[in-house]
Amino acid sequence: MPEMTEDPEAEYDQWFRACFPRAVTIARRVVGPENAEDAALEAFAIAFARWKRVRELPYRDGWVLKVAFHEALKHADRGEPRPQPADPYASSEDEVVLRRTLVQALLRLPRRQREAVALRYLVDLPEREVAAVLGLSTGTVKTHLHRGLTRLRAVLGPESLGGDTDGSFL
Amino acid sequence: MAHFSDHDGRVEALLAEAKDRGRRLRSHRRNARLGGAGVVLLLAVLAAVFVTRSPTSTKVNVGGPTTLFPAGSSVPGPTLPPTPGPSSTGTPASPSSTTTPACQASSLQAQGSWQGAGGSMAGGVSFVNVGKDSCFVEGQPTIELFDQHGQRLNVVAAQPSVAPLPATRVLLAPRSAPASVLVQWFNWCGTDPGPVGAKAILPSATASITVTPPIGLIPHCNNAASPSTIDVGSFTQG
Repeated sequence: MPEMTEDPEAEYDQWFRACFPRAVTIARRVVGPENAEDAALEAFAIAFARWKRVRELPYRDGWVLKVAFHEALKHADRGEPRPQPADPYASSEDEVVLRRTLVQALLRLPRRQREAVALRYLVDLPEREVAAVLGLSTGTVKTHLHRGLTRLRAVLGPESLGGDTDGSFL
Repeated sequence: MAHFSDHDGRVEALLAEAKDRGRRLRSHRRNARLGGAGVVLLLAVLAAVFVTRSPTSTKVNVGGPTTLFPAGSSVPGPTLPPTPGPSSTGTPASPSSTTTPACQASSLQAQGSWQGAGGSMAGGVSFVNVGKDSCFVEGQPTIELFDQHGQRLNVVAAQPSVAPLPATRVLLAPRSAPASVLVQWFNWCGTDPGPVGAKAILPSATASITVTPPIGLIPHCNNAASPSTIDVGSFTQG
């Protein structure tokens, strides 16, 4: 359960400072460094607009990370700009291609499978927290993960996931 | 230490930016709700002036053309002025209201308030209980879009950018304050559909509610390879 303070806005500030870097990391795995910060900002803006309700969520970290993931997917769907060689922070073309391939594969999954895979393997949430964020039982989450990874293997090729289905390729 | 201070300063700037965007989002949502409520009020006044209620309660669609949609759509009844008094405020259901039934499509009237938003079409749909008894709505309705000939547009539900919050049950007293949902429509790359009609389907129902007026704003085509999507929020009070 998140810590609640007397001042809701101060509580938001504290939460932002603690959780924002993680949201940027998640977004970067989907959309690359060029747009990751913007996707994370958008997620926290949505959280601020709904803070009265979001602050009471017992799994609000997972919630905002999931929103950051979706915002990053939106950026990715619009297409990333080609990396500029002069920009030391830009992704290499190989990285962009790899990321786009992964994003396209994720977008082909049914929503629940995509969310479960993203939260488990991009956000690194334990299955119990994934279940809480998605409002599902742990068993259902396991089923979505198994099916999602199986479909990703079919899309990306049998070599992409190695010998097991632990999702470590992500 | 200078590096650490720069980092802190950067985080604080990002924090301020997030809150600024959040305030704008909140303001946008509020305006959408107020816009919807304003249109409902205006129609209520017009209806009060022009619609004469007969003993047989002839149904009149005061919000828009009835020929826009094929048969099967529910036709809203006349809009009447809200009943004054404390009961005119929609309130979240309390334990004492657990016997209140879920609203049926036939007892609701839906009013849209549409505007452009950065290349997309954003708006709010307000649902007013035009039945005789209180009822509740909760969750997210489905919004379907149709071209000027009544053909359904190929628009898919967007993957929610926001994880659904726990559903809030909104109690609707008869002819009282509405429940609202936010709607955003993206990336229309098809032919010009003309004025776009919208129908709302409640989560627990199959019958639809005609949303009036039709949508006159078509979202920009951002990516012809991607489907057109519509993002519908959950019912909120007001």
